[in-house]
Amino acid sequence: MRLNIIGLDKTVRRKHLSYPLVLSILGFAVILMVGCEPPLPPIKPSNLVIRPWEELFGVAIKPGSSDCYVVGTAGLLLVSNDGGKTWTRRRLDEGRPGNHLHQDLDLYAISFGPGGKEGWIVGEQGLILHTSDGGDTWQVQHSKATTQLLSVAAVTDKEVSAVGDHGTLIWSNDGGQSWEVTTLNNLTFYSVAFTDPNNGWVVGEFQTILHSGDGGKTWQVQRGGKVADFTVPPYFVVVPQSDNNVIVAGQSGVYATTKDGGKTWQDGKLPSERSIYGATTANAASTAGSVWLAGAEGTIFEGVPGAEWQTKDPTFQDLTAVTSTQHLGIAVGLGGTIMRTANGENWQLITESK
Amino acid sequence: MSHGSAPGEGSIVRYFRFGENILRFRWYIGGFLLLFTIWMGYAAAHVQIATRFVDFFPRTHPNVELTNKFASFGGADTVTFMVQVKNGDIFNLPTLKIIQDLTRDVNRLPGVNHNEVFSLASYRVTYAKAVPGALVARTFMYPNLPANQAEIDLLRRNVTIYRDRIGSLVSTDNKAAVVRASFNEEGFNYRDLFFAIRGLVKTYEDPNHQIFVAGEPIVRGYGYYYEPAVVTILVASVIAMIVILYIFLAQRSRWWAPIVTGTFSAIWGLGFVGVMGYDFDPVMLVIPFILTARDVSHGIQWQGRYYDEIDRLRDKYAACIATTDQMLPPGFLSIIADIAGIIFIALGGIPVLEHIGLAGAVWLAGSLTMVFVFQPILMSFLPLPQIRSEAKRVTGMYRYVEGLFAKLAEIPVRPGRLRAGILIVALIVLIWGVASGLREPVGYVYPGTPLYRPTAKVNQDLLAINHYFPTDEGWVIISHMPPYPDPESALAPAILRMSDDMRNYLLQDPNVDSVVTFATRIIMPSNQQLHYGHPKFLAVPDDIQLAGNLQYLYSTATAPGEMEQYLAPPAAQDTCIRILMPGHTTLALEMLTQRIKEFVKERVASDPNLKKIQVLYLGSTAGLYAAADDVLKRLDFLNITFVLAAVCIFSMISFRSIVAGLLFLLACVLANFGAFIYLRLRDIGLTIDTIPVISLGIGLGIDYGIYTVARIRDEVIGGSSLAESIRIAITKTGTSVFSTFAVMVGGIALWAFSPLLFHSEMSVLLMFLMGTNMIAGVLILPCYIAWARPKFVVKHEQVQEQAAAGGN
Repeated sequence: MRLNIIGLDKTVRRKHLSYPLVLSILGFAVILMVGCEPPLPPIKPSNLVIRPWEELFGVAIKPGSSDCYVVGTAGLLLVSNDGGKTWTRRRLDEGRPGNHLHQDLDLYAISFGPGGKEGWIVGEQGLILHTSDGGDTWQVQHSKATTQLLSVAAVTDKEVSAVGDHGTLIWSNDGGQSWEVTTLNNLTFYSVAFTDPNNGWVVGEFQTILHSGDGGKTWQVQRGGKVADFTVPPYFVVVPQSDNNVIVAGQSGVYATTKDGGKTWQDGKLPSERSIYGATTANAASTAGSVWLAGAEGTIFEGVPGAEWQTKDPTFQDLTAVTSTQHLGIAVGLGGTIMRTANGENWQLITESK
Repeated sequence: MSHGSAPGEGSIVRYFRFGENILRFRWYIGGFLLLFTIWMGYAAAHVQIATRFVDFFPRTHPNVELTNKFASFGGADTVTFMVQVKNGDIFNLPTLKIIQDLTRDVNRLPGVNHNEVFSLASYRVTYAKAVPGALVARTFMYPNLPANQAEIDLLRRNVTIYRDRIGSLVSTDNKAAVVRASFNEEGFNYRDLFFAIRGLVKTYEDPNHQIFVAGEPIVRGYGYYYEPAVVTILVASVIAMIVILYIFLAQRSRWWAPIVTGTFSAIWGLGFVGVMGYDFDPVMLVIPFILTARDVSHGIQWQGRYYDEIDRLRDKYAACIATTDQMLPPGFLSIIADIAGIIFIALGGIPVLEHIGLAGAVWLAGSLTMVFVFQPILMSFLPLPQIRSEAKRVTGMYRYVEGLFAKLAEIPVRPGRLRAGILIVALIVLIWGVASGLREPVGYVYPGTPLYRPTAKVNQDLLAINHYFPTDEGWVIISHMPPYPDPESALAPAILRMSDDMRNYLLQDPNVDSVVTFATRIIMPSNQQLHYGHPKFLAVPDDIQLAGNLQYLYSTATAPGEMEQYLAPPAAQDTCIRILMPGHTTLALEMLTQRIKEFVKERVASDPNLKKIQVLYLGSTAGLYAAADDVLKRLDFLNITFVLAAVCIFSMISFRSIVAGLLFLLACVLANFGAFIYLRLRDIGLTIDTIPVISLGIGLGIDYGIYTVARIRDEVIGGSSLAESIRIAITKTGTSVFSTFAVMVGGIALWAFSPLLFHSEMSVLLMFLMGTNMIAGVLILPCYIAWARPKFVVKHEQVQEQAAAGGN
């Protein structure tokens, strides 16, 4: 039998042609079988929970539990159910447009109401997030404020106050359904805190101290209150220990106390000129009654007004917020810093290696 | 023994009486070739030995164009000096003084960009602190060293606190500090810079301080450092080749003729390099050497046949004509295969490969001319080679090898398990080789350069530095931004926020060490400082005017050109996001590119505030390597396809048979895809450096098969039975192929001892390739022909038989 192959080799017999052809077919079959190249491993999101390039700005411990919540850059919410030892990341997707790939706003502060179910997070561009199920889900609430909201305080489960820059003071008494927005002299307010459902303080630029006797609805200037010389260091934190005893602190270690609910203020001195960004009454057993002031370069000052301050330098990262319950203290800061203490003495850095 | 072809049965060469015509016009042809060689020799003398970094990357690839277009964002030529302390940390006066002195001396190196010398002791590296009413910027250790222990402690504290500012210059454990400098490519040559840098290292190293250096100028510079060793190996290899040549051809008085033709074609190749104005890279030195060895082996083939013809015809002219006519077709075919192997690498647009491809093709074309045209002319002018006694001729090595091949020849001609076994094993190797070839990784499998051994100083240094500091950089360019104060200008919150988001996203890639953006490095920290240093303002400003003010404030305190690292002048329409990585392995680069692509799709394309801008990636070193990987992947596939197609088509034409074409194609795949098995086992990837050698190897070895099969066919035409023809071909051509193999291996073997891993790996790879090709050509192909009796060979046998039958 003869086979005509494009006229080149008319006498080639099929038998002789078959071997190279079979081999060629086998070769190409192998090519098809093997496929081209091994596929790239799928992109997995980093399994780091605490990421050293993220900044942490706010911390809260849910009343009546050891559940800790930390907020930070780009919609970051970290949750711990074991008193800050281990953490999980939570996404705040609900109801927010374009939330893919961290198109989220920075979150600056978090506060739970006394019942532990209601809670608020505030952040950039007037962002308010609210939970009514103890932090499992969060929904956006709208006030008319569009500036940075830097601090929030849930006075009751219904009453909540928040402050921010451009003189912003906002207040709600219906769990955030509606908000009243007021502004004062375009000042930046850094912190708001209450001792009881009525008495609260706000501190800010130019050593401004405001007091409210009606749960945050209205505010009266106790100190500062208007634009002044930029050499006047601002107050960044306020810790009201009672209706009378209040401590404020701020840039470059500026510090003042009152024993009469703010009628008079005494300027004091901290051990160093480091700025203070976070403060809380230290509730942990061994340090009851004292205050923790946390701030620049990883500093924590511990003490009671009038007595000598103890300096602890558990880290070099700026600490931005600190909170405590009876058996627990948590401080957070830049560079993904989370520190915890059980007794107020030893602060332990919570890290994960990359 | 062959008796030549039947009239009219031969190739086109014989039809046109090439051999006869070459000798008829030998004065004109020989004279012209000599004059041309002299002219090429003049050009070859002007070849520049140099290395140009950009020549190693495909110049039309978007990544390379991007890198060139935005060169103001920082050149690719960066050198990192790392001072590592053996005992203690860097915070002691002797170490700090070394850092300061080294910074000063680096600033004096040729071609250094004075604005881009960064270290703990640089005036360019500062930290800022907001104090009531002021913003204070301080250097870490400029202009003076700490005066006492208290100042050293303060420096240590500042370094720890401002780690975000100094982290790229002082290691987290404080045991190492870096001086990093950029160089303007026009301002230096790699050799001088390299030796100046080595001088600095020598000056400042002491028992407690080790200095490591890394960067592209170092990698390239080591080529010059090893030059004497490489030249020694080169000379030794040439001598080895000559000695082996002498061993095989010494029975003839013209044994040196291949050296003449080899030298002349080398002059053509190098002359072409000179004429085209290409630079000759010392790292590539092994390639011209392989080409020369290849040329010499063609010469040996020719000489072997010539002596056979002399023995038969006892006339040098007749022998020259017969040899030319018989050797030109397979020689032409095999050189075309060689040229095919090298020319297609010029397709990728990588200048270095273009130079090698084109110069290699000219070199091999020179070979073709010299061996098959000039050599008969030369031999015709020389007296009849002295025929040494038959006894002497077949003594020693030659007889031993011939005896060995005579025994080997029995395997293909005897049907049985051994022959079947060989063919089955060949099939298995074929499949394994193809599978390995398809899975061959492209690019750098490990960090560091595969040019040198992992234990070489250059790689050890890189490893030491990468332990602390990333050395590779990739750029994402946000382009086409309208001018300020457009809501999509460089200072617009939407842009700043997006680049910050990109940073956060890319940092999740485990291969990414850090990401530097205009937003995170300048605007956000400035915003924080403006707000009394409060960390919650370490954020993108909420309005463009504030961002503009912050940028203005910052730029008033910068050195000339500093802002250009972030925003392209003059209208800031482009900004650069820098991705720092500890290496440029292919997988890391592919993952990074994929991530950026995903980010652009999900975050940029979907943002209604980002409609005007374009996101371009990937620039700088990471982008250049990614571009090379990208092109090599296509080039590798294209190249192999073209080479195989060329081998197939030319074999088809030469043997006038489709079966022959397919047979040589498969033999080529069988022998050369073995290279990929080797590469896979040794974990070598295809890179700009390795592809020319592998590619050349693919065309290189098929000659053995072509010569052997041509001889089988010639013997069948000459009247021998197929079995007898195979015996003769294996014994005679096999011995000659082996001598070629020995010349090449003998020469290449010494390269295995080169300090350059690239030379060493390629030497072993080429020896391996030569070996597999010899086995395929001398054993497996004859086995297959004996078993399958392909028509293109046995039809001549039938013609003879028919003629004999007709005669009866």
